[in-house]
Amino acid sequence: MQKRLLLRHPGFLSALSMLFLSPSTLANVDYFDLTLEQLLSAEVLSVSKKSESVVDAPAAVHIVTGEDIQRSGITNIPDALRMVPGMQVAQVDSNSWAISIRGFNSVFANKLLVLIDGRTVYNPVFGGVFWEANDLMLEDIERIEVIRGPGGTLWGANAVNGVINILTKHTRDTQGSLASGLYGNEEQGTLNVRQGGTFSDSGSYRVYAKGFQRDSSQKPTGGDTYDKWDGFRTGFRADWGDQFTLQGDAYRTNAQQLRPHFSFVAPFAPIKEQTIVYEGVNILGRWTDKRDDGSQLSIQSYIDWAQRDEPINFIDNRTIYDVETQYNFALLGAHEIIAGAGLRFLTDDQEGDNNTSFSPQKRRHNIYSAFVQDKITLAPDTWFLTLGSKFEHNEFSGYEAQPNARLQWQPSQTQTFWSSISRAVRTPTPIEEDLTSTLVKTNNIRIAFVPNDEFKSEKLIAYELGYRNQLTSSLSLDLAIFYNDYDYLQTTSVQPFVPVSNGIDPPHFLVPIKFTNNMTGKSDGFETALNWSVNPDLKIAANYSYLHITLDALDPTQEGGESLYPRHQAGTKIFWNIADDWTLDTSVTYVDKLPAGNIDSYIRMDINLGWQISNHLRFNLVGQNLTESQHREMGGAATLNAGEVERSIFGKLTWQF
Amino acid sequence: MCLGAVLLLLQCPIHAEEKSLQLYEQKIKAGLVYNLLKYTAWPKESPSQTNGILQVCLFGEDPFDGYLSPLEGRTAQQAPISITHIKSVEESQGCSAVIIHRNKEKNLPELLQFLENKNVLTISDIARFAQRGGMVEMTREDEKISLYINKNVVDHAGLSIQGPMLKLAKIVAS
Repeated sequence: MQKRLLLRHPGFLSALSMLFLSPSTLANVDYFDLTLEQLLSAEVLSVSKKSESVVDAPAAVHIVTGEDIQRSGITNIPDALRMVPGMQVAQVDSNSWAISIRGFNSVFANKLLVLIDGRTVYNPVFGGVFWEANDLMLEDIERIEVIRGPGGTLWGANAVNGVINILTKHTRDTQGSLASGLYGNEEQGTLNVRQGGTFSDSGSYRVYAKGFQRDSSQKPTGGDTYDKWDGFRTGFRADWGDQFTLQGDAYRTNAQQLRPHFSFVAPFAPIKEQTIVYEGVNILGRWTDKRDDGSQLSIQSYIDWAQRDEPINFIDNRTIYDVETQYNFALLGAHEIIAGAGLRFLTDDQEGDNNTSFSPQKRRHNIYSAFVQDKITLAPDTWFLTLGSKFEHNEFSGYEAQPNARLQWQPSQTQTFWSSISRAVRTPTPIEEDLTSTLVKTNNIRIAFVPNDEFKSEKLIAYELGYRNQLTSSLSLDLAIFYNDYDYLQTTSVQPFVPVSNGIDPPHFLVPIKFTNNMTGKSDGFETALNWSVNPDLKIAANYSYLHITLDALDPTQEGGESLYPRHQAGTKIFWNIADDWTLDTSVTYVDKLPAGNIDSYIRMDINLGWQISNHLRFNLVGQNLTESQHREMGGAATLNAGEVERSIFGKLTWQF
Repeated sequence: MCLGAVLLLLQCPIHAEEKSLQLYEQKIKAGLVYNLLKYTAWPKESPSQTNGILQVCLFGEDPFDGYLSPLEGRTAQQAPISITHIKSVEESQGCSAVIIHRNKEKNLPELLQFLENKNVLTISDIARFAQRGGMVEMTREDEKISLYINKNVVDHAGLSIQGPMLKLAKIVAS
């Protein structure tokens, strides 16, 4: 029998399909060998598309489908991630987010690997994601795969606490025309247009454009925050069947922000308004060759130019050239082997000012990586052992090996137990190794971050256990438990004062602060999710997650991360087809307080009422953050750019033909 | 048999009695498609008989979530099965069987009219597909999948669905 991947996206595009969805684990019963009588008398296991895909995966996997996104009425990718159990999404102001999994959250969270259609989108300067610059036309999203914990992917350092893999639809599924527009009190106008078509025998394409404008958030003290956000993007994707894909995007986003402009003369740190401009262009090609013996070769390459221009800080202008290849071997007895390699060249120019500078300012950086993985069937259909490792060489920390081992037991077609041990690293970034950045200036003192070439990778050994059960034909349960042991966590260390007399600045003392690795940490917790398809018109999902972190730093004042995460999070969503043309979808999430951030717990409720006016026209009325007029999710009240997220009401019209 | 740590948190399910076979809906439907290919006779002049390939065409998205794909390369009635996506009604001409996704419901009248008298088996889970002039409808009823066959349309197209299939399916008229 020919082996095929379950998921439509072939090859290494899908982190899940690579690792977990080998068809041999799906086919506990070969349904093609069943008789007509058996098929017609079989009981239907009714599960949604997403849980079908993850039911066999030996990792803490959650999938947000395109349908989830459309039905919940959200307008940006960060809000789509709020539906993932255990995910910490905090909106800092109108245009910035802090997003992490299993702790260590901040706007500079750097322990996640984030990909859009196989392209790494974390910013190489700090190893995190500028979510405000990574937007998509949400109607194009096929699904978002989230893997909590490390080792769930074959690629990349930075997948320490998880992977977010955003996949857009195949163009054969976006044929015809679509236009949608939305407007409301916070959403001050969004317009999406898309046109799909076909060419030659098997080719299909789409082009799209999106523009949007968002209102500012509220200051905790009242009045508008200086944080309006707008953007425009356009792009295309073309698919030649399932063999070749070519896609690209171009975008520009403007995000307002306040920032102190440090000076040696009074008033030393006047607050200035600035608009951060993000621009970028990327193009990606991917070729997949499936052979009849079940083997598969994929090659992907992309060029990604991006510039972030922050007037009162620095301009980051970088280009990434990336090529990756993956080979899935034909089944060799009990072994399913996948191997791959990648090269990434990065050129970066970080042009600062007298407060912020990078040394060197211009940099070329090469990353070489490889991986190999063997999934061994210990007992057919029931016991599997997966051994694998990633290897990477980067110019900051040299060689890094990230092995993982996973054991999977499927006592029946509806149940999976899994356990894993993995090692993962978060490699150093220019922030730690190259950056000089002012924190305070007075007439004779400058306190500043200075480079530390000795900064080491943050390291993690993670132990995970999981259980998944299709309890009844309409009810499924997912549970993951973890214990994380971190070493060499990032701290800061004040260095001896240095007198500076450079002829440019007034003579002063520099108080250097270096990023160091003087902390260890442990975290434990669990995430659980329940999905219930009550009937074809009513779906209910609920989740709860618990997290507990203890840190041990050389300087105990640096253990603030211990109380900067929500210990408890819970959420529920209800998708209900009220009548033929009407839908009512509700989601409610609870996020526990952040004691160190002085953030209260909050409950967020969103409601989306949808009316299919005709075959071509749909209207949605969406209310977000309905429980409170405004609330804060991250950042102390005194933080310069802290904004409170406001209640948002908007109407959306979608025209499709 | 349950792992200790997990046992504490969850009741370990015990399967005392033998349950009836449980399968994902898409697997059952994919299995039924395979049976249909085995139990359908195409006339000698139809494309499948002349090229010796059973061409299964998916019109619209894949309603089987990929579970039909392993059928490619298998044979039915000595002919290898090939699966392809088609994008237009006209492309259905070269197919042995066309499977129509629900999202193509609006193209249904056009498609059925185009295929009238052509030797192409039509299969779908669109509601009342068989009554509306389709040939084979796969419908979920409670916890089972039922087959509805519109024998008039099948006969009219010069196809013949054989005995065992007709016995287990429900026959409807348009």
